Amino acid sequence: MNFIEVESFFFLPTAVILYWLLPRSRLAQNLFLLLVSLLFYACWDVRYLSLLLLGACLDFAIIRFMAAQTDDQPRSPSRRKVLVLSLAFSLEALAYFKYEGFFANSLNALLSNLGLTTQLPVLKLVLPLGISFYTLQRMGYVIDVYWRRIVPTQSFLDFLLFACFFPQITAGPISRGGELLVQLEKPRLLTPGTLADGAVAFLLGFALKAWAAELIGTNWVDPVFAASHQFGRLAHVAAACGYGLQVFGDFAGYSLMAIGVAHLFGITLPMNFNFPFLSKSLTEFWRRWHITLNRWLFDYIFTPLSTSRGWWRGRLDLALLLTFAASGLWHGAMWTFVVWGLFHGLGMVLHRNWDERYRALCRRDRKYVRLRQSNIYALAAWAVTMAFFMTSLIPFRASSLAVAGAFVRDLAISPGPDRVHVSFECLASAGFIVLYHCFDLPKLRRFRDRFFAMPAPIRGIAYGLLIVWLALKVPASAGTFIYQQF
Amino acid sequence: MKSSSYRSLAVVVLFACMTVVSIDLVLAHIVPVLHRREVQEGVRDLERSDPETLVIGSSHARTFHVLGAELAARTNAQRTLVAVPLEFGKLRSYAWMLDHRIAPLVDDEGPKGQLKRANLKRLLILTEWWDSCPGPDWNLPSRVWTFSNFLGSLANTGLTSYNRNYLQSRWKRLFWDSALAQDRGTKELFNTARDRLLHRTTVTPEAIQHTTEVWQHSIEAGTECIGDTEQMAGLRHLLDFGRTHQLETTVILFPRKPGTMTEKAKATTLTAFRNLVAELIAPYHARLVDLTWSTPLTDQDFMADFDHVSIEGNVKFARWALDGPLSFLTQAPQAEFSQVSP
Repeated sequence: MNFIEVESFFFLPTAVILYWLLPRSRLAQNLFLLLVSLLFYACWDVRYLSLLLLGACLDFAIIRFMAAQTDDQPRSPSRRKVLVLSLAFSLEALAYFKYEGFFANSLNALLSNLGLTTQLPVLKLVLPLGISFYTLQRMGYVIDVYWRRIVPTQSFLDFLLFACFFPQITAGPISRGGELLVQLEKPRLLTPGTLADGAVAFLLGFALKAWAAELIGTNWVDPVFAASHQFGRLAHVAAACGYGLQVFGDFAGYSLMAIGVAHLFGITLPMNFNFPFLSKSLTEFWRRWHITLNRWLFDYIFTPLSTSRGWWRGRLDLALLLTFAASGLWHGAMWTFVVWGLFHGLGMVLHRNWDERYRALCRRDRKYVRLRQSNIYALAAWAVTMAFFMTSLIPFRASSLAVAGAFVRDLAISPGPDRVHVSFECLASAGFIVLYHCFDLPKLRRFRDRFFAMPAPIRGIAYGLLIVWLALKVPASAGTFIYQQF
Repeated sequence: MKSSSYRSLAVVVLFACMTVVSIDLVLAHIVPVLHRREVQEGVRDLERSDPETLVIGSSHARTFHVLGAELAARTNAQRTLVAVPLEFGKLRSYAWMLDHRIAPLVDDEGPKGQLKRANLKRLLILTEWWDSCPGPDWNLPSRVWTFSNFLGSLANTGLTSYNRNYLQSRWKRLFWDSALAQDRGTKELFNTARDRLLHRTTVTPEAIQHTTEVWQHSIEAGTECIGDTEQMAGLRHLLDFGRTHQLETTVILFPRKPGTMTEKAKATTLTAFRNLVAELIAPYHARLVDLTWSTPLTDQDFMADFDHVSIEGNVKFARWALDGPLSFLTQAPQAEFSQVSP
């Protein structure tokens, strides 16, 4: 089931109305939400529900076991053993369903290059919906309990709902126990703000994903990546930049929809995108883009590595490279994603070193401080960051490294005519994403605030016009959903 | 965000709804919503009546709804006909529709065990070469399925782009008179409304020529795909139904727009399909009426989609057909058709 598709028109209003008709008790609300979540997941494929539930049950048993250990040492052997058991199950499931084909194919290619005829069997498995997201969410919670950063929940129902909560199970945001579980431990109350915020986030997310991302992808991105040798340089640049806008619209839009749906049930999910195209450095970009994933990667991979007592301690550059390689691999079981991750890891290393050097310059001469605070510096930093990100998307979008290479080659030699499909609608959809960011700039934010402060009838008419526009312009089916495949 | 009270929220929702409904009404005024006869209407008419003739076919069967009205007028309602048009239908999907939606009504019995539709004596199977080419039955969920079919599919496969078609069509049915809802998936409303307001046409002679050539090529290329085993099995199933229910069965090859048929297409695809059908129905002693290029319909009698007969064309066709090749419909059914053995 997908929020963008027609089923959500039947499913969501029914679920929301029934939910708020229930008694305002934690038990009733959570039981209902759990049933709805299981139904939501079963509508995709009922067979994989068992994997989701099995992992959740195992992790609940493990956190309860950890809670029962009353010794002072969080790293006691018994606690460590069950932690390893939990992580092994989660990672094994992820590796089996997501990476089996990737590793088998890579090994087969290696064996073939070595002249060996032995080939590993490659299983063609269906990737369980949302496995990359719900696995990280549960792993994060178990690790937090292990380190005693959080008091483990006593309620099996609450934990099951935390592991299966339907708005976020498909594509995040990846929540933490301290964010989501604490809300599930008390009854939710209906307020007009809850419904209004949820509906506005849902509508905005729908516009970003179903209209803007879809249109940009169809017109600017897909044709060029499908046959890059037929297009000129301008079309290649438009495709790379367009893909950046498309990925943002697609994923930030869906995240907003998920946040909006959760709001309709009185639950607040963490923000996943914070206007990333306003970033003036790669470090800032990764604090604004897919926030919940990067927070997870930094908290559970980068920080433990760089602050450990062993060889990794202080080796920040290597830890960054490894973290972003993991990020690439998380996005997909293909070498293109690994290259994309390493590219960003390298970018982060460069930026970190540049930043350190620049700070040293600033300490020596104050003119460098003034330069850094100037608009010119900000503009150059923004341009470099955006150019880096858009370039990195070439392997991210390409179906193979060969296709990515061909795209870069064709970008350089410009083999075809510069045909870019420019229509009012395409420009409007790209402009919509740009405007969405602009309204978060300090100077323009007041316009956004002014809109929300307008009289209710005017806001109603504006929403009505947006709904009409979307009804006219959004295709009946969602088409692509880039992050669902991860 | 300013959303401090239920009153404010209600006003926002009210004005949003008013805006949507107002624009929808204006758009429906500029581009009126066309309600086409679908399987649902055909099955409903069959449920409510006891016709003498049942017509099964693709969207072209809508033409026979007009013919049915003409037939009833000519015979003082002595001869009645119900047409069940399955949009985008092919022979295999007609068979599915027959089994799941029509046969239960045909075989429906009253409290004393008598058939409720004992008057049914004729079956007209409307087809053309395209119906015998392989292809997915995307139209079944959207046009033929009931809720139980949807639930069964959901339990088997989960929600897929295939069974989602059922929900799409239910959603459209919910907003039957809404121009915005009926336009979903086609995205034509905006451009059509704009063109009508500006009094401009996008149909140029070049566009007409291009579409004609596409159709001509498509029909000529049809020789590669006609006679698909599964589709022909669908036709056999329809004929079996006619035989077991002792119905006078006629297979009608529906007329095509004259300009879309080249001499090559007539000599290859269209003749080959006619021969295939003739060969297949021979053991059933069913009647074959080939109207592919033998009607007085001209290019002007077809709609802009090059496929369907226009409203005026339907009337012209109905009058001509009942005077000519389909005049048997005005007479009582022949007894020998119900006594033919395999």
